[in-house]
Amino acid sequence: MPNKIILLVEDNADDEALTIRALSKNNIRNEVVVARDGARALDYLFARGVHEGRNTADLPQIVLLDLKLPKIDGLDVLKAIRADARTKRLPVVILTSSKEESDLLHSYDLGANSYVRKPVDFTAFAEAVRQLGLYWLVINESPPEQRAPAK
Amino acid sequence: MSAMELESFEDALAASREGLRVQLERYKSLVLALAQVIWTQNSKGVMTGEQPSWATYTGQSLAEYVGRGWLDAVHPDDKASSVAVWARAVSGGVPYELEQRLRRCDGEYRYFSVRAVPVLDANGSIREWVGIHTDITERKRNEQTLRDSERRFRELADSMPQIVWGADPDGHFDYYNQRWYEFTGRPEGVTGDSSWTDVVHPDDQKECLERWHSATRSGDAYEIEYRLREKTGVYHWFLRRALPVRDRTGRITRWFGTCTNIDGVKAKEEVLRCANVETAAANRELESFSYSVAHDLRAPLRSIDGFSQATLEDNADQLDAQGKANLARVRKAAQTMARLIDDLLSLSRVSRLELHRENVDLTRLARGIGARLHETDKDRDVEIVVQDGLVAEGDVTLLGAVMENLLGNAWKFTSQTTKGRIEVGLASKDGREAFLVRDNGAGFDPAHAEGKLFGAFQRLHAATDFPGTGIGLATVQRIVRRHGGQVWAEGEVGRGATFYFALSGGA
Repeated sequence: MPNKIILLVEDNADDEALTIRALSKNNIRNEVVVARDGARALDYLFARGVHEGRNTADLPQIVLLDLKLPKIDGLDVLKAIRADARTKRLPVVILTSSKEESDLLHSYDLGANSYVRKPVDFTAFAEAVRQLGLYWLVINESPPEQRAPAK
Repeated sequence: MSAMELESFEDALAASREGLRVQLERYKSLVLALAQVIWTQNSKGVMTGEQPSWATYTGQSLAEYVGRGWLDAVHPDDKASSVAVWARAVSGGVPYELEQRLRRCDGEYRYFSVRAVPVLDANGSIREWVGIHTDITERKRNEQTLRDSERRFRELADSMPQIVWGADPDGHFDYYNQRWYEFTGRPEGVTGDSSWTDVVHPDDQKECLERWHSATRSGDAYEIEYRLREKTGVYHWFLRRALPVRDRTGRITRWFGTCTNIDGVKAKEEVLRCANVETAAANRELESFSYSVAHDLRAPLRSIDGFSQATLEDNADQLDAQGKANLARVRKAAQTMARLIDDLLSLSRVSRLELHRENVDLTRLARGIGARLHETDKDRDVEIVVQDGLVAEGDVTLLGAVMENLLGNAWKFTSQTTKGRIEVGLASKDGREAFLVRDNGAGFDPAHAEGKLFGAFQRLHAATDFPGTGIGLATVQRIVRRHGGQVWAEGEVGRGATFYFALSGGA
C-alpha cells in the first residue's frame, strides 16, 4: 500500500503539534503534509508556487481543514477544491474550533465530507483523531484515482 | 208690514246672516288652509274694490288695503325691495315675481312667493293685474335648516387640524376645508379633478391615483400614505383616508376623506429604522465577536490541556505525584474554561437566534433528554416521570435548551440522593398554567436564592459538590423571557427543587 498522505491545513503550530501527536499516539504513520494557510494548501494540491512540478494526480488520502486561516480561509479552500475537476472528489474533513451553525451549514453546503469540532480535552481530541484516522484511512474507500485530464 | 211679518222677516234675516257667517268662516278656513292668496290690482298697481282672499288672509279691511294700503301687511324689511320690483314691473307692463313676508290675520309674518301678471284689454293695454301669493314658509325653513347644517359642517371641517375633502360619487373633487387652502396656498374655493394631483409628490402620484380610481370603482374605503407639497414647496407626509357615504339603498352618494399630517410618525419610524439597522450591525459585530471567542479562546486552552497531557506522558519519570496532580489540575481548569466559553456562547446565541413559534411536544422532548441522561450515566438509578401530552407553543430549539438545562440540573442535583426521582409535568400556579421540572435532590436555600438563582455565573453549590458553570439557569430564564413568559423556582435544602416556567401563549 503506498504511503497515503494526510494534508493538514492548520495555522496554529500548537494545534499542528497536538494533531501530529494524536496521530502518532494512535499509530497512524502516514506522511503528514502541513500547510500553514489556505493559499499554501491550494498551492500544494494544484502544484503551484513552491510545489511547482508536483504530480497533481498524487492526491492526499484526506485533507484535515481548519476554517479560520490566514490569506484564504477554510471555506474558500473547500470551494476551490470542489471547483476543480482534479480535486472535486477529494475527501475533506473540517477540523475546527467553531461549532457555529453557519459554519456547519456552509461547510456541508460546499461539500465537506465531515465536520469535527476539536475538543479542548486532549484525551477526547486524541480519540477523535483516532476515529478519524480509522475511518478515512482504513475503512473508507477513496474515489478511484483519476487520470490527468487530457490537454 | 205686520209685526208678525216683521218677526218672521227678522228670523229669516238672522238665519241668512248665520248662513253667511258660516259661509265666510268656511271661506276663511279655505283661504288659510290653501295658503294661497289671490288678488287683483288696477293698471296702476293700486288695489281697488273687494279683495276677499286678501282681506281674509291679512285681516285688512277694504279701507285698510285700498290704494297702497296693502303694503302695510308686507314685512317692513321687505317693503322697499318689493316696491322696487313692483314699480319696475308696473311701469314696464311685464309679469313679475318676488319673495316677501306677509302678515297673517293672527299677526304672524310668513314667507310668500309672489307672482303677478298683467291682464290686457282688447286693444292691448293693461286692464288690471292678477296676482297670487303662495306660502313658502316651510320651504324657507327647510332651506334655512339645510344652510345651518351646511354651515355647521363647514365650521366643523374648518376647525379640524386635518385636511378634509369631498368628492362626488364619480370621484370628482368638489370640496376642501380651509386647511387645504392654507396648506397648498391655492385660491379658496378651487375644486375639481386637477385641483390636487400635482400637489402630490411625483413619486407617490401613480400609486395615489391608482388607489383612488380603484376605490371609486369598487366603492371600498382605503388608506394611503403619501407626500403633499406645502405652499412653501416643502413636502410633508400625510395619511389619507377615503370613505364612501351611502344612501339607504347602498348607493354611494359622496366620498369624504381626510389627510392627516404624519411627519411625526414618519420621523419616529425613521429613527426606529436607523435603530434597527444599528442593532443589526451590533448583532453582526457580536456574532463575529462570538465567533472569534469560540475559535481563538479555545485554541490556547487546547494547547494548555494538550501539552500538559504530553508532559504527563513524556516526562512521567521526572514528575513526582504532586507534579502529576498539579498538571491534572491545570488540565481540569482548561477544560472548565472551555465549558464556560461554550455556555457563554450558547447564552448569547439564545438572544441572537430568531424565534420560530410552533407547537412543541414537550413530553417527547423531555423523554428524549431523559433517555440520553440514562445513556451517558448508566450507573445512576434515577426515575424520570414525564406527564403525557405536554405541548408548549414556542421555539423548538430554544425550548429544547430549556428542558436540557432543567433536566440536566435535576439529574446533577440528585447525584447524591439515594432514590432519585425527576418529574416533568403541568401545574396550575396562581391561576396560570406552568410547566414544572421537580426533583428530590439537593435543593437550595430560598434565602440565598433571591436574585442569584437565574443570574449568570451565580452558583448556590460548591463546584466540588456539583460541577457547573452557573450559566444554565440564566440561559433558561433568557429563553423563557424571550417567549414573553416567566420562570421561577421553589426549593428547600436537602428536599429537592421545583422549577416552573410559563410561556406567553399559555403554558
